[in-house]
Amino acid sequence: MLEINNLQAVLEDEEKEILKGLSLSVGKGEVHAIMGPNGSGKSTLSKVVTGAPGFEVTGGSVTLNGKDILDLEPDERALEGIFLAFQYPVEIPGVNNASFLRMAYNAKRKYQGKEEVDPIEFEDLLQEKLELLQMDESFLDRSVNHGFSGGEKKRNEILQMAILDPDLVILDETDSGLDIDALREVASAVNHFKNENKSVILITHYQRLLNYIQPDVVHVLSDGKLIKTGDKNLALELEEKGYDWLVEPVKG
Amino acid sequence: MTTLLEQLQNVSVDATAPQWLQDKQSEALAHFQSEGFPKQDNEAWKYLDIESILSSATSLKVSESSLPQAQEGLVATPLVDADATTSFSTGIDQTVFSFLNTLHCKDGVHLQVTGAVKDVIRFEESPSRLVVVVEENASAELYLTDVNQTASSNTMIDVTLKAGSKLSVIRAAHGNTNVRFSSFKADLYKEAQLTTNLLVQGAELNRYDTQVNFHEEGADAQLRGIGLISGNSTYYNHLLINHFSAGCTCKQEFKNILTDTAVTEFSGVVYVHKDSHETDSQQHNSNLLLSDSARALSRPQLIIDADDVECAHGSTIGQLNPEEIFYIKSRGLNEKEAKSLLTYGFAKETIDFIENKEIHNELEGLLKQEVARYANT
Repeated sequence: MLEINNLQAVLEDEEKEILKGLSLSVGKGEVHAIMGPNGSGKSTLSKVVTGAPGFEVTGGSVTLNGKDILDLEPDERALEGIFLAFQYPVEIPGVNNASFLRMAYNAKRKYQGKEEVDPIEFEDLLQEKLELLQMDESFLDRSVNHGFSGGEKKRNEILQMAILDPDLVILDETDSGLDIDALREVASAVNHFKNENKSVILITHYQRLLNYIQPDVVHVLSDGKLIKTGDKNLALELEEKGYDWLVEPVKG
Repeated sequence: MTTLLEQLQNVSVDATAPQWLQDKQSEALAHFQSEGFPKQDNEAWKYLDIESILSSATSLKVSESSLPQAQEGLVATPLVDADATTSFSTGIDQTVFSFLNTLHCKDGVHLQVTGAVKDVIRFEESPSRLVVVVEENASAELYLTDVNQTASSNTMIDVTLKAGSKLSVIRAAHGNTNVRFSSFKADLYKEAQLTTNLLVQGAELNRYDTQVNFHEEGADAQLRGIGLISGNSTYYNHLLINHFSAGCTCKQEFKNILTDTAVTEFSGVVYVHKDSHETDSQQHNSNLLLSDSARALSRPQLIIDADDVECAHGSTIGQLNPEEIFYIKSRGLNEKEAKSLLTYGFAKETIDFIENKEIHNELEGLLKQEVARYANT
């Protein structure tokens, strides 16, 4: 599904290298967790893979289903099947949430050579997903993320994910700012979404989320590289010991 | 061909006009003869070389607009048949064009609102001069659209809102014309409520002057507007809000979207006169620049001669946020679609307060069409 090979990227403004030769292979149906201390490059990884402005790739490659995506625009990458659930979803005042969802859904349909759907047809799909996520209808009439609470924003990301039905989902600290109930609901939506054809990358600080979404592989990212890979027990070990025991030997 | 400058300068009191109008014209003439056209050392006209613009502009069209349809609670008469001595102003200080409007006034429309007028009073073309008097506890909604305007115009509206009355004035001006001058003056008495919405697009030069005077307690005015300015066009929007009485509230929210080499100027003066305590005034001007060569000037100003007031003002000038564009693109919409959505979202807030569904939808359609054009340039 996703192959990242020796990826190097700098922050354009500061010419500071953030990713320093990162390699990662995520297969179909797999759930990978990426953990690591603050400033290790976790969010940068999600942004570089999805094509965010402000970063420059200085080396390495990223392919999705065998296709090189680094030269593609963010929208083209999305249409190819990548979805990023933002750590800080952006507010778009004046743009109706339901219309935005339908525009995005239709952009994807068009790309796949399918007929676009009208608002009435779309309503059915929307209702089905809302029910699944136990979300309130009032979400739809509001402007995209505008005035939403932190938890509502995260749920709205998950609603977008459910509607767009991507192949690869990157959840960038989706657990931050969620209370336990909201975390459970978001996790259950992700669990419902994933199947043998979907891949998930969970970027998180804490092991907590992994109690609800079981990862197949856990990686530790430090100073722009993956320094350790293990199974879900690695996350438990990190919870107990912190990152220092892993980071120091590398430095030393 | 006569230039607009020559046309405007050629003024005299109309001896065939009713006496009250002749009196107003004499005053206006005296004002014009002593003041003349504003020079650029005048703060309110600093960014506009008015004489050179007028020398090349096409002549003015004096609109002979027809009276609106009669309905309960509305008395509509030709201006010359009404006695508008108290409701017709000679002009607005600092705005020579309002005095010129008075001098060029042959006729116009006089509306007296005596009850709760049910249907929107609609004008397909703004009358050159419109005088509206809303009697105590009466209410009405006005909608003036100047669609596909081609001639230059200099229009003026005088509004008097008596105690407990309500008036909504929605104006939408678009179309390719040379110059568009527009003056709006409102006098509000006890607990009167005024809302205005202004959409401006199209003319090469748009100059809007608004004066709102609060005379008695408890009155409220909500003034909103959006300017969509492209090409070489300019839009000068000037407000003067006079709080002559205590306990009145006024909200002013004006936005501009600029592209190409467009220039806009917003100047908003809120003047809280002596003893006008418990005044609440909120003013905001925000500008969205879609090109590197567009220029937005913003001058919010407060003059406060009372102690116990709440007055806020601010302005923003900025471009579309790359983070926001990225967010929308990451959902599969392309760059143009993303820019268009964000621009539309910026503009739409100003019309969301329009309660009348039909008008709201009409303006929404207009905004969408304009914004799509802007995002494609």
